[in-house]
Amino acid sequence: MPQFSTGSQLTNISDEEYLVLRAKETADSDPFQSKAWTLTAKTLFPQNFDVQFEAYLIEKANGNTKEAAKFFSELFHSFIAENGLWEEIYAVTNALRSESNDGETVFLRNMFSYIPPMIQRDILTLTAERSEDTMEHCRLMLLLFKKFPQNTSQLIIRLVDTLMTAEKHGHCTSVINCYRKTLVSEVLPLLLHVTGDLPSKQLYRFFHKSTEFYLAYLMSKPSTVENLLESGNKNEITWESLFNLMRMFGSKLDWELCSIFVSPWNRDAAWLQIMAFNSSLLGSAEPVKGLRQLIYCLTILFAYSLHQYNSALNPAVDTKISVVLVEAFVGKEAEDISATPTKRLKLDPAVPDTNILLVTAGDGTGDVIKYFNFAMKCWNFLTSTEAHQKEFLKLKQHVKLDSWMLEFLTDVSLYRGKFDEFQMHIQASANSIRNALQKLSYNFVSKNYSVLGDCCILVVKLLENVPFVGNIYPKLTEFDTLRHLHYLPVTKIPILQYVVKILINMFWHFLPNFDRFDIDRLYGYLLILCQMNWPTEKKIVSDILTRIRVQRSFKFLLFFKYVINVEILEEFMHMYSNEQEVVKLELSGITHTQSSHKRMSTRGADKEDREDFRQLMKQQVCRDEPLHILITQFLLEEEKFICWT
Amino acid sequence: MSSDSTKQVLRKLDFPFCVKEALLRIEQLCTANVAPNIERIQSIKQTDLAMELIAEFVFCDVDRKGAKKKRLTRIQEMQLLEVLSDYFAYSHGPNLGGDAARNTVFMSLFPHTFVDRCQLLVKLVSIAVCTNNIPLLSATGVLMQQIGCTSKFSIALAKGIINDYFILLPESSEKLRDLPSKVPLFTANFLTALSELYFSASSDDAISLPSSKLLDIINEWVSENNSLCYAALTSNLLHSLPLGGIPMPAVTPFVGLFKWCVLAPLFTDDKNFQYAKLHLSALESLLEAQIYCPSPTQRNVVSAQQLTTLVSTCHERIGKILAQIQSEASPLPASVQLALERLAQFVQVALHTNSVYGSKQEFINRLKQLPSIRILRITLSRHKEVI
Repeated sequence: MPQFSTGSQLTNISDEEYLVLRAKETADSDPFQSKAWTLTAKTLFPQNFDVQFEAYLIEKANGNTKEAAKFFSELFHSFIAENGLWEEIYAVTNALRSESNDGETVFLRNMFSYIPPMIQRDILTLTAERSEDTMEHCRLMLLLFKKFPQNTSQLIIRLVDTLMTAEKHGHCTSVINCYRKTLVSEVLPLLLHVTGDLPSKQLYRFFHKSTEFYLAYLMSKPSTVENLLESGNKNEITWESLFNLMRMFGSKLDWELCSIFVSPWNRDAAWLQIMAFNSSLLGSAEPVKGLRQLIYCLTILFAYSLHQYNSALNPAVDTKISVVLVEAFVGKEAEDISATPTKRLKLDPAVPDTNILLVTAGDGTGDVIKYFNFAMKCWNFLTSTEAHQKEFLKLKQHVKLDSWMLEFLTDVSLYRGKFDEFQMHIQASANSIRNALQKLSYNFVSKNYSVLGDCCILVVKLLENVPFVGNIYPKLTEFDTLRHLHYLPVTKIPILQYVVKILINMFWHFLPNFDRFDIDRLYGYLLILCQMNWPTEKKIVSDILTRIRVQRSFKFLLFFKYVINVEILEEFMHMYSNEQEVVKLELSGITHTQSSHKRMSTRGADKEDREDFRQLMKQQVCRDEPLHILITQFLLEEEKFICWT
Repeated sequence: MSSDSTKQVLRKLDFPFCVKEALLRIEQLCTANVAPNIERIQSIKQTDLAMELIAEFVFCDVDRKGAKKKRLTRIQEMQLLEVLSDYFAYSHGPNLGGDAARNTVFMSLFPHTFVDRCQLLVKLVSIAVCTNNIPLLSATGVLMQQIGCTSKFSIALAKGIINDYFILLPESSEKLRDLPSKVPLFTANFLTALSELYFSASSDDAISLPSSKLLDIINEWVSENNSLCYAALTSNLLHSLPLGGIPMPAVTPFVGLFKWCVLAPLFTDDKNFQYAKLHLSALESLLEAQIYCPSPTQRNVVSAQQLTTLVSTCHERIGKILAQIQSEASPLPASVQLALERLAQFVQVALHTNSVYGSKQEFINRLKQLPSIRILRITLSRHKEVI
């Protein structure tokens, strides 16, 4: 046979490379031939990774999931040390967790499903073990549990430990971190689901970890979880899911009370069950165990009400109005205004709370009272006996409930008239308008007149940041014979209305102690402030007018700047024009005259002056500006004097 | 009952009822024959009687005096085929001797020495494929193996079936699709016999190629049933044969199929990749030799002798092609390259799986005479020690 040139091609590459090359060359033109080459190459070089891997890549390129799965399994079996293979393994495990629908990801996911289950399991286990990142490890283990639930119970305890250790050493600044979130929302529910009995000590520990996270998350609604890259599904962390978890813990711990966390949840039914359980506890053989059950379940209910209450006070939604609990006005206005508040409130602890009236503006904020009452009911119960209190205190520390209780406790102490406590709480809290209002409320009730002015001015200064204007809220400043509290909407006008009312009270209170010169200023201030909630304070105005007539003179240079109420202006016009009355008025405006210090007098007045005064009055009547802005401006400009009084 | 009285009874029956009755008598004789305490002389007598009954009452070749009768009419032949089909399809419970009895009767009816009856057998098997007569097809599979799959008889049988199913009634070839799962031994032996029909080296000029339809079916058989080519090796015939019957060595279809794939590039351009696919499926199947024949000593999958013949055929064919090319420096024609590559891949996988039996020296020597392409060199150097 003639010698043909046969070996000329590619003598410079190795046999392995030659075979891989032939397989690649023919992959497009003749896939069967290409496969025949890889098959032959595999029999010739079973220990060569490149040859085996190429066979896999060719199947992958052709989209043959079944064959690729077969080769992948063989590779996994024989070449576990190859880095090239690991890259592919990571691609597969990533694809399994991905929701992406790009070609490669879908292919890898489908391919994985053709791999024999035992090898699937080994791939996931080994990848998880190799993973240096705890979260990666955890996600892979969860994937493993999902696909192979039968192995879960042995491995999951280790995963729990891993996550807890990672959190401990992970320098997490908050409990809302990725390790805790995964532990609490994914791993622990699975653990409770798959394992039989767990030591109760361990269960309590898991309970504390879970509750601490849930409370922190639910109360603060964070936008991100520390160290957690993907945003994940935030809906999974809800009160509903905490209640589910409670049921799981409860069934492990044999708690009959865990049935209160059924869905749909009912507040009153839950309370009745708690009460019934409590009465059964009195005769129980194991009071400690029962007590713990009671306290744990009730604390969760309390936390839930607390959350509802806090949300009602400070709605997360921008369009909803916050409210703040303040002391309202007691006394009989009609008899003697200066007697309000007549004396420091005497509060009898024996008097049931129900005698104290809580009032809201009634604009959709009414639920706040319901939440407050229920939270207080829980709170009273949790602190009712020393044993209750002790158990509650321990749990409270474990789950860090304290940080969410401040506003509630502040309001409770105000409600109960425990002003020392109230003062302590408001001093501890941040400098917000809420705090400023409550401070004002406290000082008003305590009749600390020396600081009242400061408190008012502080509130007025903070008004600037209040987003809503609101309307006059008549009930707010009504007097009542019984003590009552208001949920004051955090809006400009009602707040100002409240402040003005307190200032009127304060100035009225000061009235007897003022000398002749300063008393005119006080009268002037009162006239300005009384415009706010006109005509509620008409009586005070007429009282002041009477006093002015009696003293026959009135000097108040801010008159034309701040007095725009038509009725008051008419009274002064009348006083000015009435020839019988001889009152020396010295009022000055800054808006019209050249001389800012013009004297006016009824006696010997010339025609021009008279005309000027009329003109000024006319101008005042025409002023049409929002009262709350005018009064705010007045308060800020007269800050010095108001604080000094 | 004496032989005469048996014949007397049967002679009173008309055709085809005598056939039915005769078959039952023959079966009784065959079953009695396998009884352990029977004497040798008596056994021979019974066998002779069975043969006589077959000649006179089944095929009606001879009359009562032993003289040749004229052939059955077409209608009578149809009736005979119907009775035979029914007999094999329905009348065999395990208490009646089961597989062994059925196969004994079958082999007595169609001994390979009676080439005439082969025509009738082809028709019988054709009907069996069509009517899904599994027992009859199984018996045919055993018969082919005992006679030899590459024997004239088996090849003629294969040719007859191909004729019926691919030439006369090509649209009914679909009936063949399920054969591997129903009657693997028959299918495998049919395949082995079939592979001899094409690319046959006997006559140079008139080499015949399998039809595209046939290739499709075979591709499907091989690619979807990896165990199919091993059926003859893995079927234990000991209990399917008459007592004392020796199972004949099995021949797998591998060499025959690879012959097609190797020679195909030299004769056809394989536009639809049918040979490329068949080659791959056969390689994949061969790669699993260890699974189907775990014992290395019994892994008689590829006969070295058959391989030698294949290599020789290749050598001869390629020699002729290359002789027509003037320049010796030009590269090998692509067709020759492909043929050699397929041959080398087959040899590599066969040696790798330890499937070759018999003396390997001869075919290795012949391989070395072929144009030395790289894969062939790699394969030969890899198996230097083994050979």
